[in-house]
Formats: sequence, C-alpha cells, structure tokens
Amino acid sequence: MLRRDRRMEKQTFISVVSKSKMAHSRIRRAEGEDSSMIMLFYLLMFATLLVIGIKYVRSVAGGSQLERTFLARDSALTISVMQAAPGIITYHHPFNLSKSKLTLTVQNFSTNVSDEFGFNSLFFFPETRGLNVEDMLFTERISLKKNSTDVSKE
Amino acid sequence: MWRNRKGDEDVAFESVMMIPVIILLTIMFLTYVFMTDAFIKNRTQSAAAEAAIYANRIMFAKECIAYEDGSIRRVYPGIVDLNKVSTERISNCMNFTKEEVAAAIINLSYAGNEKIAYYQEDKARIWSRLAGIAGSGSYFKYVLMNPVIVYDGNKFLNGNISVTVVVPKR
Repeated sequence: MLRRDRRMEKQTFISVVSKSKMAHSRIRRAEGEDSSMIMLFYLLMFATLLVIGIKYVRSVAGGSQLERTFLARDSALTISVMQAAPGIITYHHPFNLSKSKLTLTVQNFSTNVSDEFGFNSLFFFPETRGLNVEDMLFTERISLKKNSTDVSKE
Repeated sequence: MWRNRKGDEDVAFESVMMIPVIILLTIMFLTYVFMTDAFIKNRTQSAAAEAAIYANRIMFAKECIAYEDGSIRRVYPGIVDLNKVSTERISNCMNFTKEEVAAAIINLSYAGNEKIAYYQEDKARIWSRLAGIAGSGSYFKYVLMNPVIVYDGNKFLNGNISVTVVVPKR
C-alpha cells in the first residue's frame, strides 16, 4: 500500500515537472524568436544602408552626380534664357543623355535629371505668365523650341 | 537551462549594443553624403550666371519691362516701358514655383523722377545685406546698370536703370 502511494506520488511529481519543462521550453522558444527578429531587423538595416551607400559611391565615382547637377542647372538656365528672348528659337543641346544613362524631366517649372541609380538633381527656373512651358521628357538629345506662346520639345 | 538563458541574455545585450553602432554608421554615411554634395555644389556653382541671366531677363524681356510696339509686335531691348515698371509686373515675369530662388530690386531714374519695383521685396532687402559672405550658404548679388530710353506712353526720355538681382548660392 505504501509502495503504491509512493509510486503515485512519483508519477504526479514527474507529470508536474514535465508540464513545467514544456511551459518553460515554450517561453525560451518565444524569447529566442524575439532575439532572432531583432537580429534580422539589424541585418536588414545594415543591408539597406550598405546598398544605398554602394549606389551613392558608384554615382559619385562615375561622375554621374556632377553631370546630373550640371545638366539640371544648365537646362534650367537655358529654358530661362529662351523664355526671355523675343522671337522663335530652336535649341539643340550638345550633350547626349543616353551615353551617361541620364533622364531629363521638365515639369512644374523645374528641371529634374535622374541617373541609373535613381538619384535626382532638381533646379528651378522662373515661370512667366502667358508663356507656357510644356512638360517634357528627354532620354537622348535635348531639343527645345520656343515661339511666342510656349516652350516645347522639338 | 542556465546556459540557454545566458545565451539569450548575450543576444539581447548585443542587440542593445548594436544601436549606437548603427547610429554611428548612419552619421558617418550622412556626413559623407553631405560633404560630397557640398563639394559638387561648390564645383558647379552657378549663382553668378543665374543672377546675370535673371537681371538681363528683367531688362530685356517683353514680359518684364522692355518696350514692345504693339502694332508691329516688335520688342526694343534697351527701351523701358515706364508702365511696365511695377512690382506686380515683375512678379508675373519672374514668378518661381519655389520662392527661395531669387529676389530683385529695379530702380529706374528718368527726368528727375525715380521709380522702384521689387521681386520679393523683403527677401531682396535681407539677401542684399547678406551677399558677399563667403561660403555655399551665402548669397550672390549682381547689379546691372545701364543708360536707357524710357517710354512713358507719349514720349521717349533719357534715363538710367539699375537692376539688382540676389540669388542664394545653391
């Protein structure tokens, strides 16, 4: 009788310990998942920073940033001069955008030059009331035409 | 069991210690970006050209103050239409979508009279005082002074014009 009681007690104890171990294991696993998530987040941040950094450095090293800035300013000032000049003007810019993989967008009285890495250079030119400047997109040669009412792509 | 907990604590500690490292790396990256940007902007500085272009635009464009013969639609650069010399007119021909681009003061003197017009008057006054200070955050001032013929609607008079354009060095 005493031996059977002892066996019952032992089984109960084992069952309780086993349940406790399982619960503890679940908590440990959850904590482990949290830590993994944090590490994954940091890794993602590092990777993003690294990719942006490499792209930016390549953009600078390849001279693309200098070209972008120069071209945005040059085309904005050219349009400004064309706006102010009387008469009809046709203008061909000597720069070929496709060689440097650049894109020029003329929109909202600003010129925006973007490169293959997705970086942009923006420059504003004045709006003249009564003289419309059309929205334009250039990927190769820049050719502009100005008459008495608007400046447009040739 | 103790070993696992210690391992987790180590990971958590390392995670917290990574925060200053990431902040430092971000600061280093942004410093590089801003310094490169400032260098390139300095190399492609076009404030002098911008100011000269805007001054000439005010002076010679028919949309600004240049006289235009309405009957033959001919523009006479160098002849100023007195009726066009007004702040409203200049604001119409020099209207930027972004305000922080240019400011101007037009001072016309003729036959003992004087007429002044502005483009962004407040900015023109403040930026004129700040112009000339060295550095990329400063301003550049360009003054175009010319003897001109002034047309007042009836007759042509002799006069002098001073167009002051101030642009930020961007």
